[in-house]
Amino acid sequence: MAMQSVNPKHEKGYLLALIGFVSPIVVFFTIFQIYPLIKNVWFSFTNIHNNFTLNNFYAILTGSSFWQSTWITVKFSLISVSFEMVIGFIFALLLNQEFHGRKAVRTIFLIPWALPTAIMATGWKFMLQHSYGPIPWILYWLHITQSPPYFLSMPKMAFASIIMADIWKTVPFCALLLLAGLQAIPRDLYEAMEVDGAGWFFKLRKLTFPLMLPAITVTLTFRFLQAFGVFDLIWVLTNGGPGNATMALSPFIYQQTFNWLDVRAGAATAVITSIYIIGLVVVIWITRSYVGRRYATQ
Amino acid sequence: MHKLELKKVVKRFGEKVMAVNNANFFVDDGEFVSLLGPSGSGKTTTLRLIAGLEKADEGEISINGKIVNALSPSERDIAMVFQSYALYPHMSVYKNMAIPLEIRKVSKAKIKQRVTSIAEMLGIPNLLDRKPRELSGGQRQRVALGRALIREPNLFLLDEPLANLDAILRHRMRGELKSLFHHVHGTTIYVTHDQEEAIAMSDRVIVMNYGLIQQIGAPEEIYKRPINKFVALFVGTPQINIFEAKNAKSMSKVLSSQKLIALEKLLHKGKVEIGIRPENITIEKGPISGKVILTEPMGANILVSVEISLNSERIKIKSLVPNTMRVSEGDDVNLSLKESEMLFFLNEKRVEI
Repeated sequence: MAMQSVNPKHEKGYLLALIGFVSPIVVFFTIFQIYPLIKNVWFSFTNIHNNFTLNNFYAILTGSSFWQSTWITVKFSLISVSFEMVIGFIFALLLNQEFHGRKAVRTIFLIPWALPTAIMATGWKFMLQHSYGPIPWILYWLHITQSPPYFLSMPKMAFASIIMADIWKTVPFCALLLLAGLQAIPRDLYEAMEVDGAGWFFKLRKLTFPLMLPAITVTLTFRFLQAFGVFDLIWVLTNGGPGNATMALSPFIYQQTFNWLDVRAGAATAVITSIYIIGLVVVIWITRSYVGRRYATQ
Repeated sequence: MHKLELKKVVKRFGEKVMAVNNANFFVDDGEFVSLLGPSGSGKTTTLRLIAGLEKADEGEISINGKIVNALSPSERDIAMVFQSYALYPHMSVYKNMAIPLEIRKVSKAKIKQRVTSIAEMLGIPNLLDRKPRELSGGQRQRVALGRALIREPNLFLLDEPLANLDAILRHRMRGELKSLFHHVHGTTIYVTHDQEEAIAMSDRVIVMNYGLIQQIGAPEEIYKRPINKFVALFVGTPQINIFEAKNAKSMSKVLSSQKLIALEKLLHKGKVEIGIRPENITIEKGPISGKVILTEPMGANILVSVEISLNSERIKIKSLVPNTMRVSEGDDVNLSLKESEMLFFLNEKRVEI
């Protein structure tokens, strides 16, 4: 038999055990992941009579809503991820310093990220609410604005609010991943460079940044994937509104599928979004290897 | 003016640990000085204090007569070779060596010239395009040396640079390092736990233990006139024989009558021990009879362990004899201890008698 390491007497029981252990996840995965995925692709390429068609895609790609959602998603991802990476990096550098109570600070720092998004979004919704939310009124009382600003009912402000909430929630995640990267850099490299005469900026540029590239790539990949699929934050905070001002791709898919009950349009949008995301990952990794090579040849 | 001077330097870790306890020493221009001690003796901490990677709690460190306590490592103009080599993993060998000059904004042409000549000197001109991970241990070590030698710093600080090499390479590099730093006339402080290395390479050796400097001296002085029992035991392979002289009578076979009188006086002051290095003991004829219990061939010599009895006490003595001697376990031998080479320790401190 093929499996030589297994005692032939026990082989049957061993196989049964194997199947027994593995089957729950296989079943689960098939029913809840693979089946919906295939069904989704099927929906996107068929019409109501189950005949093959490209009309679903044609309708979406020629309409304006999809492109608007794409643009909102791209804007949201680029702006929020940029802020999160920069602020996260700064926090990672700070948390990498020796100071009293560092472990406690590191734990507390993670709370925003540990909160379920729907809950933290509800919190932000309350804080930003026009008629009784603390933030608009504090801004007004401090005479920073002339009246309590409308955060969630003005298109640009609503978009900014979503980005702000996302940054608040996700900076700890970025900081933690980047901190892990920072801590993987041996301390004696810094010491060697100090002895060689380098200042902090030189060390940051020539040591920290290039050695952080792997961690930066991983963080960027994670963040872009999450940001591109953003749903719960928007759904709770603005419901995609006002108008469609914050209707990113995922809320748009939801809206098509469950509000308008246009399952095939939703499925087609989901397929295109998947292609976006695959493309995004490819771009990130190509960029990474290009940047890596540039450092390598220096 | 000394190139480097430490005055009453103290470094504590936490409240209780005295990593360096009142270190006083100097190093002159062009000297090669070793800091020798077992692990935890404070030698590396001392080196890091000199480099500025640690701040002294008390005392003064001066380079070229200028107190540098408040200066950062980059302001002290020193070069250091780390035990781990600390090569920058993402940079080529060329870049690794060029970094100190690049930081000082030296022109590209000059950097190239300097890196090339240092690489020639170290025998690594063919490795300049490689990354550290593509090098062997010995090659990495040369790159680390190259990075230190690329400029002309006040001091070269070497932290166990040979510790990670295999034995053959370590022996070869010992000689190379010595002539290299002699050649560039660099003032060098060399940290090692390997006493053979320190003895073989240094102009002077500073022996440390428990954060305290035990002895400072030329290698032969450290070897022949150790200041205390610790230094005597730590320096020299094979290790020195040390046995206690409980009373004068038991030593009558070992010592001349003159020394016995002196020993008698010494015994009133405390615990007396006698040390003698294995090469100063012969086993062919002598007043002390014993039995060979172990022979260890060491190439040119054989290390012979002999059990003898002084009065009623049995002690083990090691003797180093030429390999031409026929000796095997179980043989009855007669030991003779060279009295002029004996060391006497009173309460662990060496005394002249």
